[in-house]
Amino acid sequence: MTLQFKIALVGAVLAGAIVGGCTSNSTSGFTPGPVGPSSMPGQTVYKQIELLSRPAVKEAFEAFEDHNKTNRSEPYADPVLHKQIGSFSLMFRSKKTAATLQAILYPNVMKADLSQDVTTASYLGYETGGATGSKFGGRGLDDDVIDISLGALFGNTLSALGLIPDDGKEAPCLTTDNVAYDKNNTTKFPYVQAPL
Amino acid sequence: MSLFRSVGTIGSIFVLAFAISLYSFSAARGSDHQDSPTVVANPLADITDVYAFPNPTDASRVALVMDVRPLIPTGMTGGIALDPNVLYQFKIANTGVSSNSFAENTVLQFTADSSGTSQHITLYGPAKPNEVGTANTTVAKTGTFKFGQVAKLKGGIKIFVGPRRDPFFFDLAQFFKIIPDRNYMNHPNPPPPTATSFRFSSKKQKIVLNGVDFGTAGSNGCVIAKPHDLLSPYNVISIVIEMPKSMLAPAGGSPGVIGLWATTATASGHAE
Repeated sequence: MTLQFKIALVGAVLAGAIVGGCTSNSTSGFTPGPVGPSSMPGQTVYKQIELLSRPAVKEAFEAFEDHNKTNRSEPYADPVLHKQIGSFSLMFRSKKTAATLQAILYPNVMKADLSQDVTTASYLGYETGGATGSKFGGRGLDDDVIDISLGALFGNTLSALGLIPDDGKEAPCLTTDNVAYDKNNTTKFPYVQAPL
Repeated sequence: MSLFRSVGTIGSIFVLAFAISLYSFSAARGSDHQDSPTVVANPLADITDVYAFPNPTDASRVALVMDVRPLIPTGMTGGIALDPNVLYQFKIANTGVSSNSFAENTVLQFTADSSGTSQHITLYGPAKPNEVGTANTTVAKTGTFKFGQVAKLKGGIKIFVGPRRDPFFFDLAQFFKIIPDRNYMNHPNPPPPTATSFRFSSKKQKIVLNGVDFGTAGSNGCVIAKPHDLLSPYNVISIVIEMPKSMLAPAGGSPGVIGLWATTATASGHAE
């Protein structure tokens, strides 16, 4: 996949992501608490120390000192991530760009449409109606999630979609890390390449 | 490139460098505690990546992958396995995601019975969680299997936990030069950035974004050096589970849209 095509693809992806995600930062209607069968007396209660969902969201947008708060939160009730996506983006981009990135990236869950009768995943494919290659969404082992994220934060992806005006603050040198995928995953379970 | 464009580009680079510097220094001044010391202290609880994809030849099945224990060097995976003090979980919301309801209602949980590669691992679920939130107990057991071996469990589940090559790819070293705050080894006082660009292999490399020509790496003042996937020679411990999609469907319903994330947890809430 060429860089140009990849970036064009990202544009299509984020168009759908924004359409589907602009209202997704609400946690209204959710009340934390027991919902299932009660645990057995004496069972170990494990307390969360780490969380990961969408790649490169916490890592790129959130200050290192706040990672621990996100790691110990639910992805839809995070005390810092939504604000940090906005404040970090605002250092480089317009208010509209920052707000749009917040809407896309929070809540920080990976979406996949299991009703799709397909055999490939594509990062943000659910949000885009399949513009990335598959309506399944999720994340494939070789999806270039870094370039997708960089294109949105430092590139012209959002404005190219017509979602927001071009703020003229693109940083071309930060829109790709120029690293190609070189792993040899398989089509047979467990799919991930054997260790080196 | 016109003179105006050149001046504008150089100006943008300085503005960017200044912004990143302000950000890094602000983070350093804000606190003296290191990010997530529990995860740094226990890499076996450090989740590196999460994946979700269909079986490449059977659309009725879905695979979930959680990678932990970053940066195991080539040839050094021996003896490394899951931490028996850690609960590893996939959490899934499978009702209402399309209408922005994300509370988990299905979990898949893993624990190991001992340290080292002779360990046996137990899968709990997929099932409704005993608790919604960040303090969890295990649900009903589904089966037990050996580390490092593909196993089949009831309900059509295929499962594997063992060393794999890290599938993630990123010029992480250059990223840390751009935002030193993100490297835990730089804390509590991360240095100022030493780069405002990823590495481009040639001055002539064109930068075209969404059909817009932004010139070349050289004309933009990008760093000209060989890009490098820092993760390339490293391995991780992969938790891979594949099952019929129907196992992740809402009660009484058909497989639909899910929201997925992965967590690790300990009884103390510390590294252990």
